Parts: sequence; C-alpha cells; structure tokens
Amino acid sequence: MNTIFAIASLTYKEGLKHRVLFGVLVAALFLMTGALLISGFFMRDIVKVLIDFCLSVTNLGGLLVPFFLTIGMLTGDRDKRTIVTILSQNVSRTQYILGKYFGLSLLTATIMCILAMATYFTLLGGSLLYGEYYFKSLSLYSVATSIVLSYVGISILNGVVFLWCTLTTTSFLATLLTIATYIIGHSIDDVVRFVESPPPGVTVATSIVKAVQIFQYVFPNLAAFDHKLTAAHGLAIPLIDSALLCGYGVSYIAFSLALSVIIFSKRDLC
Amino acid sequence: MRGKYLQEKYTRIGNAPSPLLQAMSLEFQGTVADFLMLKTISYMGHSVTVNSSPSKEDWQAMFRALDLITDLDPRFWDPYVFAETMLAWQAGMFDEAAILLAKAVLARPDDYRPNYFLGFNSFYFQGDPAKAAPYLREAATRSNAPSYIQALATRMSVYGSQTMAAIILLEELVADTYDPLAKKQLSIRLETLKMLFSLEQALAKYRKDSGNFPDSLSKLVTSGYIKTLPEDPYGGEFVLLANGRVYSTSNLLRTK
Repeated sequence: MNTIFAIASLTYKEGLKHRVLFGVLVAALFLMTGALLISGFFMRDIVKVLIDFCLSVTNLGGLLVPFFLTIGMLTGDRDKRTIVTILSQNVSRTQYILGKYFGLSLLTATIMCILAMATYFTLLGGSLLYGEYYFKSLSLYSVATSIVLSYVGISILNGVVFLWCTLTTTSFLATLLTIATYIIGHSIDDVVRFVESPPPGVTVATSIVKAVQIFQYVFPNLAAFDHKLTAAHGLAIPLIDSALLCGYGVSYIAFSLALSVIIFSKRDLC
Repeated sequence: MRGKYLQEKYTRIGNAPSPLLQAMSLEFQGTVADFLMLKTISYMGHSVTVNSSPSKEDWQAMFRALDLITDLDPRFWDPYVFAETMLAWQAGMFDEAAILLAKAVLARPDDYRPNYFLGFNSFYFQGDPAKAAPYLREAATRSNAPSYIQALATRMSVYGSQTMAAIILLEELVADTYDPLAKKQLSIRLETLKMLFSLEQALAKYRKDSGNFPDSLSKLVTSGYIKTLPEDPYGGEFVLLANGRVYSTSNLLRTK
C-alpha cells in the first residue's frame, strides 16, 4: 500500500507541475466570469444558463486529465524508459498501474474541486448582480451531486485510458481510442433507442442491432453520469440513483484496471 | 467578404436536423441550447433596435431554432416565453407557438404557465373561449397557479375580461423579465392595453347612461367621461368599431 501511495503522490505532484494545467485553470476562471456577464442577456432563466456554463467548464477541466495528462504521462514513462527504472525499484506492475491511476484521479478531483469552488462563487456573484428572484430554483445540492457524478464518469474514462495505453504502442492511437470511447459513451443511449425502435420506413440490419447491443455493454455508459441539465433546472437527483451510478462506476473502473494489469503484466517493456 | 458576413441575417445552426444536433452536442446540450437562444434573442433585439420587422422567412427560421432549442433542453423556459411574446403577439404565428407550448406542458408538468399561455392565445387572439377553457382549467390545477386563473376560466365569455386577461398576462411577464430591452417592450405593450381598457370602461359607462355607444371616441371627451384621448405609443390611432370595441390602427406593432 505504501508503494501505491508513493507512486500516487509522485504522479499527483508531477501533474501539478504541468504548465498547461495552470493555463487551463486561468482560462476556466475567465470563462466563468464571462458566463456571469453573458447570462444577463437572457430574459428569465439566468440561473439555468449560469449553471449550464459553469458545469460545462468544470467538466471540460476534468476531461483534460484523461485526454492529455493521463495519455501523456503513461506513454511518456514508456517512451523515456522511466517505467523500467520504476519497476527495477521493487515496484510491481500492479502497484505501478494502481499508483498512477490514484494519482491521476486525485489530480482530476483537485481540478474539479477548484472549478466547483469557482462555480459556487460565480453563482453567488450572479445572485448579487441579478437578484435573488432569478435564483429561486437554484439547488446547490443538485449542482454538487452533478459534479460528483461527472467526476465518477471522468474517472471511468481515466480507467479506460489505462486499458488503451497498455494495449497500444503509440499515444496517437490511445488518444483516438479514448475519443471514440468518449463519443460512444455519450451517444450509446440514443443509438440503442434508435436501432431498437427505428422511425417508420427505416430498416436497421440485424447485424447492426446486435453490434450496438454488444457495444452497449462493452463501452461505459457515460451519458448516465451527465446530470448537468437536472442541476441547471434545480431538480433533485435521487440518492438511490447516485448510489447505483457510483456502484456502476466503481465496478467498471475495477474491471478496466484489472484488465490493464493483466495485459501490462504480459507486456515486454524492453 | 467582411460586408457579406456582417450582413448575415441569422444563424445557420438553426437549420441542422434536431437528432443530429442532439448527437453532436454530446453532454453539452444545455450549453448548445443556450448559445442558440442567445443567437435568436440577439437577432430579434437587433431587429427591434433598427425598428424593422423580421421577414416571414426569418420568423420561420426563428421558429425552427426555438424547436431545436426545446428539443435540446425541453425545460428551458426562455424559448417558450419568446414563442409567446414574439411568435404569437408579434408575428401572429399561433399554431407554431402552440406546437412549442405543447412541449412545455409535457416538460414542465409543475408549471401553470404553458397551459395558461395556450388558453390565453385561444381566447385573446383566436377568439375561441371553448378551446381556451380546458387549458385554463388545467393551468388552475397546478400548485403555483395564481387564484385569478380559475375565475378567468369561468369569466371568459364576458366581453370585458378579454383585455383584462391580456393585462394580467403582461403584468406577470414584465415582473418576471430581467432583460431591460424586453422589459421595456413589454411595458409599452402593457401601457397601451391599459389605455384600451380605460377607453372600454368609459364606453361601457357611456352606454349604460345613454343606451348606445357614441359615434366616435372624441364624444367621450366632450361628454366628460375621459379628460383626453390617449396617444398610442406605437404611433397609431385609437378608433371605435361598430360593435363598441376599441381598436388601434398600429395593431400594437411599432410603425415609423
């Protein structure tokens, strides 16, 4: 456990030193300030527009980790042979994978926490600027729950990135597979609905229906973790739904990491 | 090239098929809906500022955009208010407004306003109290419905309540609106309707006293029922119709 913690800590500190991260955070804060001003153009649903914008920025901030930092760090360790040095220090491949994952998850949590605080202050600024009347439907509990669920969704994506990095040999291929996973994850619900009940006059080949049904269970359903609209409209996200989603998320992450460890254990690093 | 793009009238995103736009928006449907709504209201604001009315094609483009916005985020209230205040009031597109408001009835089951707007349009614009009554009764059952809606549903056949229904609707819209330009436009419309209502009340009193409606509105001034004839803020003229209704030649649309 100490080894996993040490690798996680080193990964976290390495991520914090990344200059891109700092730039993204500054840009995100500017964007949220812009949201405060732009939301004034709307007639009534000011709080909904503000929350939409802030939660989108929070999500984008979190997504930078799997798309840029995770792939960059894992493939960088492999290309610079840093991984050989680490593994020669009596660190198992399992400990390496788990340590890296927890470090990057902590980094994602840190970024999203900072952006969540920015969201809170943006909403506070909005209620002072436009008046409490337009913030009657605001539910901070729903906003917080939405951010937590988005974090779980991004953590799933992080786990899948580990799988792609252990399977592929280049960072480009890993990035492409991650983008594909993200797009499939967010559109699989709509595609399944379409193929199972196509509009009148449209025929879907049986092979496509079967393929979509398989994809539905193989790829993570990331759309289920998107509750931005629910939070924007001040609606409650039931606790049981959140608990089930977190359970699904943890299971999928565990499966992805287990598969990554198995593949990585058999991989020749020389 | 600069001139060409500065004169571009409206967003082309409004022409994208709804399922395609929803799929392309991924997890950012709310933000895409907000962006599209911002394009729509800024285009309308520009038209109002230069005192020009959008063309029929522009109104249709705005309806298609509102349809897309409400597909992306069915609970988003601003597009429905835009449909009511612009498509119905300004463009006379009652069927299109009804298509959008029907979505709001399903997406906002806790809100009395979609049914209220549908009932109001049927009663005030289309002159069909029978069609309006079920909407208003449905609106009255919502927990946030004001108490006057039930009374309105039962009083709809009374002539005098038609303008009053519009005044009540507008007072609520003005109180609920943040945007200064939209608030000003609605306030002008409200003031005009209050002028119409006061003229209708003076006419009702004249008829009660003399048994007939006067030949013209100026008779109300000479007979002492009103001090002066109000001026239409939209630049038109108030005229008296044969059935005793007061009509504005501007039709509550700004004329230059």
